[in-house]
Amino acid sequence: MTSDLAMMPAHQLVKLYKARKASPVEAAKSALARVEAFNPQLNAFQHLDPDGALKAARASEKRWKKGGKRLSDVDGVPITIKDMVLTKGLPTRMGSLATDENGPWTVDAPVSQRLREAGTVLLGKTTSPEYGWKGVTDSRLFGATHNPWKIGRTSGGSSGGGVAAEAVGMGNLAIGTDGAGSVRIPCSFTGLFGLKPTQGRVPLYPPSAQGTLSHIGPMTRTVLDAAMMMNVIARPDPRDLYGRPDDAEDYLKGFDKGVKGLRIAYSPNLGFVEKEKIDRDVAVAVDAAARVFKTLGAKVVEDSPDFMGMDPRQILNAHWQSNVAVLFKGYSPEKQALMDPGLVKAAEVGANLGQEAVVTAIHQRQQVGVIMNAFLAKYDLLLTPTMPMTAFAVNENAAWGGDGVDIGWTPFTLTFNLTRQPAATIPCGLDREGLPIGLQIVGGHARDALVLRAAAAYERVRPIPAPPLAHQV
Amino acid sequence: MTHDLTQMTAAHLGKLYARGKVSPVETMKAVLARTEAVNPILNAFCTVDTEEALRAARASERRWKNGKALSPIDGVPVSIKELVRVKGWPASMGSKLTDKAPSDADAPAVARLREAGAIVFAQSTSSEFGHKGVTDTPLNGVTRNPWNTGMTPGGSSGGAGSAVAAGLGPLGIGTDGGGSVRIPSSFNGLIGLKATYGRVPNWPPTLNGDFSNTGPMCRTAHDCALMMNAIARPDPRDPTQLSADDTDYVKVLKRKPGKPRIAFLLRMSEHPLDIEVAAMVTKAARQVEKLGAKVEEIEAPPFPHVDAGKSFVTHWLTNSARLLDLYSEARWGEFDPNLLAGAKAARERYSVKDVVEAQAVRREVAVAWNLFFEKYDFLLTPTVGVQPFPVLKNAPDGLDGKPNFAWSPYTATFNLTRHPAASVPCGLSSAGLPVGLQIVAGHFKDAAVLALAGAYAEAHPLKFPILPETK
Repeated sequence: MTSDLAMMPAHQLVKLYKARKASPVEAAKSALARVEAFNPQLNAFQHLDPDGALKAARASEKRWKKGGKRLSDVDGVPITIKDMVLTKGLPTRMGSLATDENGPWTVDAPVSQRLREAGTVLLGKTTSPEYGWKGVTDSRLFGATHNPWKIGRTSGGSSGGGVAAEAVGMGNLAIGTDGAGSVRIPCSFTGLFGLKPTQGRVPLYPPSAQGTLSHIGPMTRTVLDAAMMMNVIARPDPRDLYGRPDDAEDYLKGFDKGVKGLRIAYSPNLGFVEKEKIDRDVAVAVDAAARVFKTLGAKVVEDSPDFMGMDPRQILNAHWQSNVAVLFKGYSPEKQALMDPGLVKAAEVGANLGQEAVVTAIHQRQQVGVIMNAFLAKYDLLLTPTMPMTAFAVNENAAWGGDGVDIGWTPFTLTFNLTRQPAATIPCGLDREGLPIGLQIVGGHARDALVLRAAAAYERVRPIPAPPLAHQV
Repeated sequence: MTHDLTQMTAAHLGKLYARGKVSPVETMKAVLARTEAVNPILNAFCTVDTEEALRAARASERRWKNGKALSPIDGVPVSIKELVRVKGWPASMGSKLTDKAPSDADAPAVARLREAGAIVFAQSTSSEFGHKGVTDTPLNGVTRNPWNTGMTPGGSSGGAGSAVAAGLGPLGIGTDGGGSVRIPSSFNGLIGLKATYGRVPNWPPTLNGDFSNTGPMCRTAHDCALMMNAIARPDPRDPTQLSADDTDYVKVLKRKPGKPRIAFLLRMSEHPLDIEVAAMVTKAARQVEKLGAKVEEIEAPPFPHVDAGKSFVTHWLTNSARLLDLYSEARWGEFDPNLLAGAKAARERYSVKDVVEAQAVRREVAVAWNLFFEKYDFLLTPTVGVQPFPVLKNAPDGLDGKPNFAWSPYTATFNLTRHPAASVPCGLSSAGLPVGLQIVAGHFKDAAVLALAGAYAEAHPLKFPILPETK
C-alpha cells in the first residue's frame, strides 16, 4: 500500500489524507522507500533530506488530523526541487563543483517559499547539469542521471533529476527550470507532463544568468497535479523583476471544459525544422495526437508560423552562449578548471560572438515574438512535437553526437523561451524502442490555464503511463 | 479668452461636445489655425494633415449629434510623435535615412486613439531615432520651447511637449526610452506618463526594445487618464505587453490617495543639480506631504547610480550601433553627428561581455528597486536636474562653463527597471521656465502614479498663458 501512495497523483493523495485513509508521513515514507530502491540506478538526487521530509510530513499530518487547517490543496504532498532553485537549509550547487559546498543556504527562492507555505514535503534536490547548461543531465559534481524507461539512456535535461524521480514515485510532484526546454525536454524523454508557464507567471529569484529565457515550472504525472501546483507557485513575489501582475488566476477553473470549438494549429516542423531531422516515430505519433484533438471537437488546421528567414536556433544560441561567457568569466581560473569542458567551450564561443551578433539576436528575438504573437492571435493553441527525437545514450552532451554548444537540437522548445509563451509537453506515444514521445502544446501569453485545459482533455483519452521500472518494487 | 478652444483640456472639450455647445469641427479649425500661426516658430510638427483632420472632425461631429460618440475624447485633436507609426504618414524617425513611404498600419496606440474617435491630425518632431534628450534633427531642424523659444523643449518627444503647451491639440503621444516623455513634459510644464513597460503596447519593436514606452503628454492628469483609458489596451502585435486589465484611469483619479509611504530623493549621485530646481522640487515634496502622505527624505538610491547608468548607456549605444548595420556606410554622414558618434563609439568600446554584463546589472538594478517599492509606495525626485536650456546644445553648460552631460540623471533608471514614472509640473523658475517633479511607483501602479500626480497638480496647478507669446 505504501508504494502505491508514492505513485499516486497528488490530487488523489490529498483525497486520502482528507478521508484519513493515508497520512503525509506514510506518503513520505513510501517515496523514500522508492528512493532507496531506484536512486542507485537513476542517480536523480543531488541532495536528499529524509529527516527534514519526515519532520515536515509529521507537521502536515497534524494539520490534516485537526482537520480544516491544512495550508493548501497540496499540503503534505512529497515533492522534489531542482538543484538550480534556492532552498533554505538545503544545498543548491547548480550542478557545479565551482559553487561553495558550505553554503550558506539561507534563502528560499519564491517557488520554494510558496511550496513550503503550502505545506508540501520536500524530499530533496534533484540533479542538473552545471548551471542547467545542456539538455541532458550529467555533471562532474554528480555523474549521469539515467532514464527510468531505459537505464543507459539520458533522462534529458536540464531538469533530468526531477523527471527521473517523478516518473518512478520518488516524490509525487517535481519542480524544474526551463531556459531553452529544460522542463519539456526531460518530460518528453521520460513520459511526463511538464509546463513552462508564461514568463513572469512563476516568479524567479535570484535573476537567472539567462534573463527572460529562464522559466520555472511543474513536472508531474497528471495534468491536474500541475494545475494544482500552479495555484501554489504562480503567485507574485517582489523579488522577481519580470513578475506579471497578480491576476488571481485559478488554474483549476474551467479545467474540465475540453477543447471543443477551439482553433488549434498543428505544425509538424514549426515552419523551420528540417523534416529529415524529425524521427519518423515522433512524426507519426504527433500526427496522431493532432487528430485526437480533432475527434475531441477542436478545429485543427495544419499551419506554421513564418519566421521570415530568421532561425530561432541561432537566436537562442547567441543569447545563451554570450550569457554563459559572462557567467564563466565571473569565476577564478581555479574554479573555471572545475567546470564541464562543454560549458567552457560554450563560454569561449560566446565570448567571441561579437557585440553585433548579440545585439542582432536580441532584436531578432523581438521579431520572433511579434510573429508568434500574431500566429497565436489567429489560433487558441499550437501543437508541435516537443522533441525531434526520443531519449539517446547517457553521457552525450546533445543529440546527433553534438557537443552541446549548439542547442539547436531542441528547436521546438527553445522557440517559446524566446517568445515567453506558455508551452507544455504531454506524452503521446512510445517509439520503436518503447521510449516516450512528447507532444508540445503552446498558448498565447498568460493562457497557461488554456494550455492545461487542452492537455487535460487529451490526457482523458490518452492517459499517461508509468515506466515499467516504476512497477518493480 | 476662456472660450479659446485651443486652450481647453480634452476633458473639457468632451463635455462641451456632449452638451452640444462646441463641435469637434470648431475645435479642429481653431487648433489648425493656431498651428498655422505658431508651428513655423516652434517647429513642433513635421506633418499636419488638414484635410484628414477636418474629415475626421466632421465624422466625430455626426457621432456626437447622433449620441454615438465613441469615447469621452471623441473629436479631440491628438498629435503623434514621428517615432510612432501612423497609417499613411512616413515613419520618418527624425532621420534623413529612413524610408519616407507612407506607413501601411497604425501603431497600437494610434489605432486605439482612432477607435476612441480622437482626431489624429499631426506628427510631432523627435530627435533622430529618439536618441537624445533635446529635439533637433538634420531632417526637421530645431524644435523650440513655447515658454521661451530660445530654449529647447527637451526630447526626444520635444515636438509633443512643445505642441501641447502651445495649444496645438490638448493630447500628445510621446515615447520614452530613457526619459523622452518625462523630460519634455518637465520642460514644457506638462504631465507625462511612462507607464509600466508593456502596459501600452508597442509595434513595431523599436531599436531600444523594452526600454521604449509609448505614453501620454497632456496639461492635466485627467487628460492623461482619458488617453490611458484608450491606449492601455492589448494589441496582439506586442509580444511583451501585459495582460489586459480593466483599470479605469479616470475613476482611479477620483479616489482619495490614502496615506502612502513616500521616499524623496534629491540626488541620484554626485551629479550637478540646478539650485532652483532643487528648491522647487523640495518644496513640492513638502506639498505632497501636506496632501496626507508620509514623506521621508532618503540619501541614495537602492542601487549605485553609476553602475545603473553604465548599464543603461551600454544598452543604449549598442542598440544605436545597430543602425550602422541597417543603413549603408555611404549614407552615415546624413545621421545626426551625435547619433553617429555614439553608434561608432559603441562598436569600438563594447564587447559581448560588456553587453551581457549590462543586462545582468540591469536585472540587479530592477530587483533592488522592486524591493525598494515594497517599502515605499512612491518615490519623488526632480524629473530633470536643470531648467530648459538653449536650443542647439545636446547638453547645457555647467557652472564650470563646460557641458554638463549629467543633466538628466533621474529618468533612465526606470527604463532599466520598467517601473511607472510620471512628471508633474511644480511651478515656474525665476526665468519663467517650468520645472518637473518625477513620481515613480512599483510595477503596474500606473494609475496610482497618475492619481498622485493629479492630486498634486490639482492642489498646485500650473497656469498656462497663451504660448508662445506673440506680438
